[in-house]
Parts: sequence; C-alpha cells; structure tokens
Amino acid sequence: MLLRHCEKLLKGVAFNPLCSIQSVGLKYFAPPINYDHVEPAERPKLRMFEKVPQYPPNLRPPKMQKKLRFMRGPELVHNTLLHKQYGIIATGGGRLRWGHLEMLRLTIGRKMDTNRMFAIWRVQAPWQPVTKKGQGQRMGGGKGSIDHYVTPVKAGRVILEVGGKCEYAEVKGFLENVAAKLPFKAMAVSQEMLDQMKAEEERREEENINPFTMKYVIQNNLSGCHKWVSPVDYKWFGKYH
Amino acid sequence: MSARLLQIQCCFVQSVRNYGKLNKHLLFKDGKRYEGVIYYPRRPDQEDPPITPSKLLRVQRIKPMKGNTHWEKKILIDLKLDTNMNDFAIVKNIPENCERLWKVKHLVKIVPITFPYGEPTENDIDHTFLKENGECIVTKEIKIDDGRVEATRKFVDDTRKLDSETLVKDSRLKWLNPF
Repeated sequence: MLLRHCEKLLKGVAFNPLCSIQSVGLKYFAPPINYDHVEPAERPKLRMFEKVPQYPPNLRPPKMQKKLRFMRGPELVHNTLLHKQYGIIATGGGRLRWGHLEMLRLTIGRKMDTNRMFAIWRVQAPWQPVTKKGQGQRMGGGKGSIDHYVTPVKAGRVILEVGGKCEYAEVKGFLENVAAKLPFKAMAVSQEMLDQMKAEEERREEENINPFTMKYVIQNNLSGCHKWVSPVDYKWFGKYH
Repeated sequence: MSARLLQIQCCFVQSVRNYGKLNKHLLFKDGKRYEGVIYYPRRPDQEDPPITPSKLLRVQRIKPMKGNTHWEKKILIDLKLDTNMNDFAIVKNIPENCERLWKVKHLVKIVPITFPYGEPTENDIDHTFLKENGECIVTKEIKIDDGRVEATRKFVDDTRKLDSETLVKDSRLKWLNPF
C-alpha cells in the first residue's frame, strides 16, 4: 500500500512538475500483540503415546467391563485451559483410540509453526482395555481377548492445548479440521470463547422465566415423569445422555 | 508407572455394579419439607403468593388406574377412586392427606371446596349440592317463590303468544311458497 503511494508520488513528480499535492495520509498501525506472558513449553510438539500400556512382567493385562460412566456426564476436573490460550474440547462423551491420538499428533505437528507455537496433551495414553471375539466365532467360551486400548473422555474435557506466540485465527483452521475427525462431538476453542460460553450459559439460566425447567419437573415428579425418566436424567436433568 | 497402576486399581475400587433409579432423597439436597411433603422449588428464594386454604378438597381421578405403581394405586383405592372416573372423594385438608395426594397429583384433579352460601349444618343435608367447580351450595330455606310462579302462569296463559302448532304451520307454508 505504502509502496504504491510512493510510486504514484514519484510518477506525479516525474511527469507533472506542477503537481505537488501529497497523496499519502496519516496512518495508524496498531502495536503488535504482546506475548510476554506466554511461557514457552519444553518441547513444542505432542509426544507419541504408547499403543498398549506397559504392565510389569508378572501381571497379566486385566480385562475390563464397558464402564459407560467413564464417558457419561460432565467433566469436572480437566475442563479449563492451563495455558489460557487455545485447545480442543469434547462437547460429548466418547472414547479415543490410539489412531485418533496419532491423527491429532501428526496433523498438528505438521500444521503448526514449531518456532513460535507449542502443543501439549491433556489426555492420558489409552489405558482402558476393550475386548473382542474373533470373526465368525460362536458365542460363549468366556470373555474375548483384549483387542485394543482406549481413553474414555467426558463432555467438556480438554483434549489438547495449543499455545505460544500466535493468535486464534492462526490455529483455528487446523484445530477445527482435526476436531471434526474425532469419534465424538468436539470443537476448537480459545480462552475467550470458553469464558463467553460460560457467561452465556449462566445468563440463560438466570433469565429463564419458564417455571417448568427439566430440573423442576424431574425433582417434583410432575406428570408422573418418574415412570419414564432414566437414571441418568435424575443426575443431570436431560443433559449428557 | 506405579501411579498409573494405582489409578487403574482405584477405578476398580470405585466401581458400582448396579444401574438404576437413584434415591431421590439422597440425591437432591435442595428440598423443602412441609410436613411429609418434600417440595423442590424452582429457585431457592422462591416465594408462593399467600392463600387461605380450604377445609375440604374435592378429589376426582382423571387418569386410568392401569399402568400406575402399586403405591399410587393403593392411595387411589384408599380414597375409593378406583372404580368409576365420575366418582369423587371429599377429603380433609390435613397434612396426612396432602402427603398422599402429593404422590398421586398427576392422576387426580383436586378442587378446593368453597361455601358461598355458608357452611351446611346437620339439617341442611337434604338440600346441599356440591358443584364440579368446588362450590357447595346450601339452600337454607325451601319455599316457593311467588314471583316465579306468577311469571310462569303469565307466560303460559298469554293469549297473544303463538302456540307451537301455528308457528310450525306458518313456517312450513313460508318455506313452500316463499314469494
């Protein structure tokens, strides 16, 4: 822009010696964003997870039940961003396989600028065993053998964080891209978005003038709803199915 | 390593095998007790408008007996509301009854009974009537109203009044030959 103006000015001087009006106005360039508060991480890229957890040699890998409660309900602990910058949160419950974690690691490692940015995991390596019976097998004969391991994730859980000297617009593209590929509903967020979402939820709760909220109806057994509501509704009143 | 093992073991320790309805009274902490009825208000600072409670309630069943839980059916049977939907029960507005009615509030219509002409006494039993909207009508004196008798007689004996036979005949002729 500036160059073009200079060119015009030079041209004016060169071809029309009478013209001496300046065509360049006063400009304001905003100061660059201050990233002094950003602490650099030890390693910029995500580390690789083990596909199978390592057990001591005398311990047989234990099999486990499905344990749906590990992915049902809201996440109460890992639901905030440690670096207060950007990340991916799960908006529904589900299970991450090793392949999903690899997809996240490789794509983010490839797309981000490692000189300025970093990424950290907020989930564990796959630890919950999932058993399967072989194809074409008749039923019976005990529980199948362990097929793979998964990481159960609840709604609201932060899966990974991206930070460093970067803006949300820089990371949004690839974070949304990988979030869409996860086996549950997930979204790319920044700290401002999380604060906004929380404030919006509180506002909606406060300004709701409907007397018959799900909580009120279920707690007071209105319309005999105790006959058909699920045990999950008793706890979270229609959310987190 | 050991931490992870410990975590996995903790998971086993925490496990709950049953999956079913949770005990409401243990789960919901924000209830208010009103003599046997536990009410969970919409907001903690909610205040209902003041009312003057009626002495009696008219209770009528509006839902089928079939498909209800045994405790709900027992309450309805005790109130003798289990046979006919048109039956109604009159119950005292006392804490014991309110507790029972609160449990079947989705199966019955409860109307407070009012006495616009005063409460009936023992002598008024023959001329007391309970309306569907809860008004208990007591006719204190039974006597013939002379004004109404006179008005009826005047209407019947009116010579200028057309009798129905004439009206029908006239209407039919007008229909057959309108112009």
